[in-house]
Amino acid sequence: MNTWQLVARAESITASPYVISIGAERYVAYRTASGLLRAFVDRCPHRGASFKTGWLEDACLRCPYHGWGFDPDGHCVDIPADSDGTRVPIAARLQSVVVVEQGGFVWLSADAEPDLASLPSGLIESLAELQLLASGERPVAAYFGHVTEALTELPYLSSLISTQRLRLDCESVQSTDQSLSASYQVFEKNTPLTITPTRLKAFGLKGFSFEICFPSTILCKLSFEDPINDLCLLTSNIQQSTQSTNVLWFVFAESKRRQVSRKTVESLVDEIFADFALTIETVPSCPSEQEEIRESHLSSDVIVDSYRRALARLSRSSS
Amino acid sequence: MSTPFFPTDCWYAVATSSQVTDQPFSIRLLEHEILLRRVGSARLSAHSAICRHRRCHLKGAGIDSEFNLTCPFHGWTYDSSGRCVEIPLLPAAEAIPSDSILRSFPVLEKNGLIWLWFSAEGHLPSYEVPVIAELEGLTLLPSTDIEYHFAANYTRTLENILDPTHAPFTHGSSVGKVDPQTDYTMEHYEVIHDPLGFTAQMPIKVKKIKGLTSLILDKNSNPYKEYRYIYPNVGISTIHFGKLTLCAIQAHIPESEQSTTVRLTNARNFLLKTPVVSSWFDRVTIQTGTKICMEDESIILDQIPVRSEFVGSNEVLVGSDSIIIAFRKYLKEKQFRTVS
Repeated sequence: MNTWQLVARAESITASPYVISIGAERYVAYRTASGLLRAFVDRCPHRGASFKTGWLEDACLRCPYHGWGFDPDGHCVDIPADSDGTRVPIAARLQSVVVVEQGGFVWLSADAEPDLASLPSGLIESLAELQLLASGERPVAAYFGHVTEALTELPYLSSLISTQRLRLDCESVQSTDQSLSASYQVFEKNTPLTITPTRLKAFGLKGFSFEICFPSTILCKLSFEDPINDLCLLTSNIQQSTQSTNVLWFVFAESKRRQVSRKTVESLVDEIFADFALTIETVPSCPSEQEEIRESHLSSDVIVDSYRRALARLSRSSS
Repeated sequence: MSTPFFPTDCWYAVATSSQVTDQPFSIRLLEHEILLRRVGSARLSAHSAICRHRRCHLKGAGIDSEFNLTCPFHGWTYDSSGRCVEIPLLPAAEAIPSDSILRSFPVLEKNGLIWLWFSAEGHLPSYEVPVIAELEGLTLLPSTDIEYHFAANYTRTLENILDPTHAPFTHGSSVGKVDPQTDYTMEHYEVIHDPLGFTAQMPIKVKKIKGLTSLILDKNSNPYKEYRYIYPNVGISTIHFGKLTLCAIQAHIPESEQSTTVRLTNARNFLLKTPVVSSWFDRVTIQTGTKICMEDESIILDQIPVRSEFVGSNEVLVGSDSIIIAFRKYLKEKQFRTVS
């Protein structure tokens, strides 16, 4: 099975090396003069240096340590200190990884032969119709799976809404090899939603739904009484270690006529991250297959259960 | 995860001479906390910095006229050899516990550095700290001492300072630019071994020296550089511009697997007589040295794997890396033993 990780907005990848950490691995991406994306494992074969402070020169990616130059296929073509006719060793090459630009985002797959058909194209298409309102990057001191799980229950986070008003629509749960989606219903109608007690007033939440693209890209939709106020939160929860995650987040608006301001959206996101500090950041470590997880699950935890099954399946197929 | 392993039964350079005074100077070596200080005018003392009573760190301890040191927690007092000589709250009927002794280490001063003998199994020193030949005719300048911490393994920081080919790329903005027309080729150089390390010499390729320094250092004097490695943790780089010689002596102190403090002192044979000019060049030396450390840090912290090894690093080393290969071979042959 193939997995894709959303690693950046397309415009973030330029002719300057852009370093992405996923788990214990580090990748470097850049854009060639003709606009093509290139990505490699970020480790110079010479002395293990990172290309983070490297540069592009004559279509060559240069290592900042000894200036070794690599062509767009990752082959070393220049060793400045040994350029007196010595042949470049064959082993001096970078290990390439596949990056794809779609829907204004860059997706990376560490698989040897990734399948383009497994890109979350439905999600990508739905994003193209929306307007990006705000975006950012935040470190979270929690396991990436816990971050994704928490976002499937976004409306339950204390500062967003009181827990009585929404209920998972179990009929809506859909699961495939690549994704998991579901929606919630508002059952206590006519109670205006106060997204935050002070800043975001009474737009009347009508529903909440999400779609996870495995392993950890999630699109959350908040729909309101007046659809012009609908918001989408897209996050890519990139694992750094078992207890830390780098979250790339993007908020989209359905309509230009929205009543909610960019500033309000940013403070809403701040509150979500603040809630993480009280919830998932206090959870000791990632669930492992060897270890029995002592959690009491209810039928309404079907989402978490199926997500964890999917992650377990992914880690088995990659190992 | 790799097991931390470090050289044992050897003299580690752990501080510059000017850092150690009659007040406690605290260092970390291979996860041991150690206090260094001068006792009277001639003697040095080195012992564990952790009080035997309740493990309080003694870096803040007071020192009395007898050179005894008093723990700030419960006032346990130790003499300069680390023996506890007084416990204020000791009941009259009890004696000072016989094991209340701070572990002490053989220590000496040479070549502008303080050297500490470390043996995991408590062996006594088995060889002498070598004389650094490069220092002959040069004046050590304690006022230019630099201390810099790297969250990296000492093998990576040490091989970085012995590395002759990274300067034009990593230090282009601090040391000097290589002329774009110049080729960067490093001619073949010999690595010459001696009982405690090796040396190598190679020409300096920098063609544009930065700022006012260019008035003093003549790039047309066929400048060359010289590197020396002294087992286990000293790297020396010397540059020669005609008759002018500048030498940096660096102690790379392994604190733990991913923590190294570099303490370095400098020596030279010019600009010594006129105080104003001399102190200006001292400042240039410190600023340049610190900037070089920062530039190297941006590289070293991200190197994979954390520790460089003769085999196992999966790196493609080439002809100009002869000195790096010599360094890794040397460490491998010394067969590190685990320090527990």
